[in-house]
Amino acid sequence: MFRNYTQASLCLIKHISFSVDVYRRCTMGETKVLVLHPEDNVAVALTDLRKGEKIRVVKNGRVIELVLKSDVPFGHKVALEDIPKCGYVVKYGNPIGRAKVRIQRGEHVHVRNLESTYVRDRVCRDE
Amino acid sequence: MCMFVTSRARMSEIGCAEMNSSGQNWILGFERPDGKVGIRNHVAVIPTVVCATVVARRIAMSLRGASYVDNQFGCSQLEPDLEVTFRTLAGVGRNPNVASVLLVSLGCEELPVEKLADTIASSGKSVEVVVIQECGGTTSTVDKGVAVLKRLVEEASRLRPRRFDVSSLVIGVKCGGSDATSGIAANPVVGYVSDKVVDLGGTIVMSETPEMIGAEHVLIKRIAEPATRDKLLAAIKRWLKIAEERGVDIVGAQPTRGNIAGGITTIEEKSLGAIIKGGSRPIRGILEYAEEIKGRGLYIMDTPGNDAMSLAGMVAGGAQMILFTTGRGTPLGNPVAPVIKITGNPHTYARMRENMDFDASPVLLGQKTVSEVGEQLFELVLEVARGKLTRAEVLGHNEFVINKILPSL
Repeated sequence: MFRNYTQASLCLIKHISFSVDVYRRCTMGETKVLVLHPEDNVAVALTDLRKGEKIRVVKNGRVIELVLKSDVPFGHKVALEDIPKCGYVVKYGNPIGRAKVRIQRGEHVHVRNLESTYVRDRVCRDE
Repeated sequence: MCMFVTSRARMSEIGCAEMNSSGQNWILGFERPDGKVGIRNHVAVIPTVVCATVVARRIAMSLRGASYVDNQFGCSQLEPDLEVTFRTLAGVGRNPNVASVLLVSLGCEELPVEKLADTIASSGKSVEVVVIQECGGTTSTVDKGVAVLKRLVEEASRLRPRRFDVSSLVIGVKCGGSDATSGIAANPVVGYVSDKVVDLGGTIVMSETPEMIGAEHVLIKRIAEPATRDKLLAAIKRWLKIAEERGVDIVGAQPTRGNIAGGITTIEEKSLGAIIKGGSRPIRGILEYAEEIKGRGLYIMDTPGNDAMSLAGMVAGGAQMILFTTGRGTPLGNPVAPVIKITGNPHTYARMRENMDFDASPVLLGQKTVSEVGEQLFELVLEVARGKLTRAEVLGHNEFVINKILPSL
């Protein structure tokens, strides 16, 4: 199984030939999450993130700064913007389901607030 | 870092030979009589039925330059499955990485051996057949087979590779032993390479139809012809029906508990994370299992998710190379096509280093972008297409399993 690690320290150990640029890339908030496609409204946590943590992410050349409203474990999703109830959650540039409840920016997006359009018992049916 | 050494011996052999390539994107290929280009030069030893596997394996192991292709079937199969076995064996024999073929037959199997030999030979390759019941048993067939194989290997070794453009490449993409890193690091990196290869005029084939359930709405948007769209939807429906008839609810069971713990919420999300390895280009066609890939661009082959079955189908279709992403790590290879192992999990890369060819974890660690790491992987693809052996090749992994749907008789 994938184990957790301190991202910045691991990153820096890998770059023995230390440079300011590497230090910046390893420690700044923008490397804490990954946006897989420019149209996405969620990002993926690259390490375990804590509620209250500040995240910087570059999307379409624009810097988005947000404060996490909940813990977001490694590999899980965080909302980059407010998503209305039954709005589409977009990852890989495509809808991966709809918001069961209104999702606020900085919130952990998972089974509690996101549903597949394939499941039988779903909140959003106004296709 | 991924360091790749160019095969100097081969480089000097070709010297300033014909340059069919433009710029940096050349590969080193063996031109076959049918005009196709292989990146390996194997003599394939293929048992036509399970009863001939031990003899075939002993023949293949006796000589350098031979490659054993496993086959658990060839008899007591219902017609549709026998047809799949035939098509797969014929396809792997016709694969451009194969120079010539030795078929090892029992003699009374249902699989039509002569027709198989003819189908492979119609690509212009030498095909020889030894028959156990005619040679008089195990040891005498091994002796006869080794003598024939020796000649085939010597003939094949006379072929000289030369430069071809990267557009000659047909690459299969596959994920197996996936974990949370697959969909966010390794598969996007392979997707980058898929797009690049297609843009350069090459061919990509993506398989494992059951993994596409939940992403069909995305895939059909990339298919121009309505008939091809229907073919994909019908293939997906067929898998759902097969599962349903056996009481399995694929949609309801996905994503799995492990997936959910890893951060995957919906089946759409899981499937999108899988299909991203095929890139984003238009889909040119939907192929049957082991069907020959005739055009260029991006194709989908209807195969099971099973790793070895999926690889066998794509290689039988003509793939000369496989890009295989694995978060948890698998050693799987193929008897005729080099398999490049890519992991996005830094711990898997460290722990299973000897089986892993490429580390995509810099994406995961936020150190590099998908395109930066994708360019590095593309360089490795070129190196392997110029003769560098993959870890699976060095370690002798030659797993080969033919797809089967129906019960045996």
